[in-house]
Amino acid sequence: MEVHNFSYEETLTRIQQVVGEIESGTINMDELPEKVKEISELVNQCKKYLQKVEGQVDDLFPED
Amino acid sequence: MPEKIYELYELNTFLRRVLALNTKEEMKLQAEIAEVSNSNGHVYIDLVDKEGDQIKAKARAIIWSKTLNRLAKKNPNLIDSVLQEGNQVLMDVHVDFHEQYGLKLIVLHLYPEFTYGQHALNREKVAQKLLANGDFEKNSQLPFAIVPQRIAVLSSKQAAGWSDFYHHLRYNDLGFAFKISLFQVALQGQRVKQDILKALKEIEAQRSDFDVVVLIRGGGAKLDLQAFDDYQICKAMANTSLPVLTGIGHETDELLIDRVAFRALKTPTAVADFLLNQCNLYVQELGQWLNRFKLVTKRKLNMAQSDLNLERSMFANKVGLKILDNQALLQQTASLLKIHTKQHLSIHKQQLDLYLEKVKNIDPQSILKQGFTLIKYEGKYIKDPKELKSGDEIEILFEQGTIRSVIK
Repeated sequence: MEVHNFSYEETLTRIQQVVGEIESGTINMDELPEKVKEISELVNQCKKYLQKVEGQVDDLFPED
Repeated sequence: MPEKIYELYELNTFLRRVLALNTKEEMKLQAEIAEVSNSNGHVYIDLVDKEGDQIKAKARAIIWSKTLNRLAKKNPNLIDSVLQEGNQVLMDVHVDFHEQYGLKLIVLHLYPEFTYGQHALNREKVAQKLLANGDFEKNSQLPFAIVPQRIAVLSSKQAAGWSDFYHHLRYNDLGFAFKISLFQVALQGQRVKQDILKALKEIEAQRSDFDVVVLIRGGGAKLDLQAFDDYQICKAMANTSLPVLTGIGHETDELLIDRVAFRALKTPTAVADFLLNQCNLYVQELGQWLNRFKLVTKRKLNMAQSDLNLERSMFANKVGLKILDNQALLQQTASLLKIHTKQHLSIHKQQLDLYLEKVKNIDPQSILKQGFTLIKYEGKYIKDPKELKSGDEIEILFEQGTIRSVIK
């Protein structure tokens, strides 16, 4: 599923924010499963993005 | 005895009788022709006998038209070749004396061979004289124009040969242009010699306007050729400062004028062909030079071209090397870029993994897996025991299940 107007930096900021909340223990336990689900999705999106960039790099600079 | 006085008629009658009695019916006579005239088909000839330039004897002869026709049947050129002023003739004559018209020689027969023989003798004498002066070589040793295009023609407008010659040159297939100037001369009769000598003088006076002199006659009946064996004419031709070409158009024996000429050709058309051929030879030679020029130029161009090719390939090599250098540099840069990018990407990946790991660790399920338990009261996780009081029923969450319990 392609994400429109995806911004890696914004997504990363969001991940860091949530992880910060979890680490500091300020997060409501009831929201935790929701947050875990959100983070794993966001991490997947970012990984996908990184994979896409890597693929582009490989296409643009093929090994000869 | 008184002297008898004759009446003229009586005397003439007497003379006629004396002549008739003392002359044969036919007598052979040799004499030189001083003048010839025609009247009513009869030919009147003034015969002379000379010693040097002095006339020793003179008489009038006549060829009746009937006799002339008979003689002309055997020799069609009789009038032209034999009955000309200055010729020596041998003939059978009848001596006739008439009381009223006086003495007359009636020509009964002519011996043209005698006249021809005289011509041959005369020609031989002229030839010896010309030979002694080297006149046969003079004209033929003159330089001939490379492209003979300015032509002084000695001929008569009425001569068939002139129009043959003119048309052949003027409308030649090769497209050469000629400047043809006609110097009118008589080609037969008494005026030939003076005309030709005069014309040669005129041509000599403007010799820089001409490349070659052409004498043509040709065509039609065989005419009197004696003038062309004349010493003065031949000498004048030989000493002309321009080369002379002849096209007299005769088939018989060689004429002296042909021998003094630069080149003798059979007919006026042959003269025209000779001139055309000279021009054509030059054009061909030009063509050969042009081809050589082309060849040399081509060779030069080829050399320059291969030099250029060499230069170009050297340049291409240098450029190629430069490109290769730059390509290598680019390749290097690109792979560096790739490596750095990938490194950067993997750092991010690791970081992402780290985040994921952190989140996982906080997942209640993973806490339970580690052997911890969680306590829930009315659906909420309990962080502080103060939130609970005695009698509250709580849920204790294990990894493998839940226990309900009451606080004491």
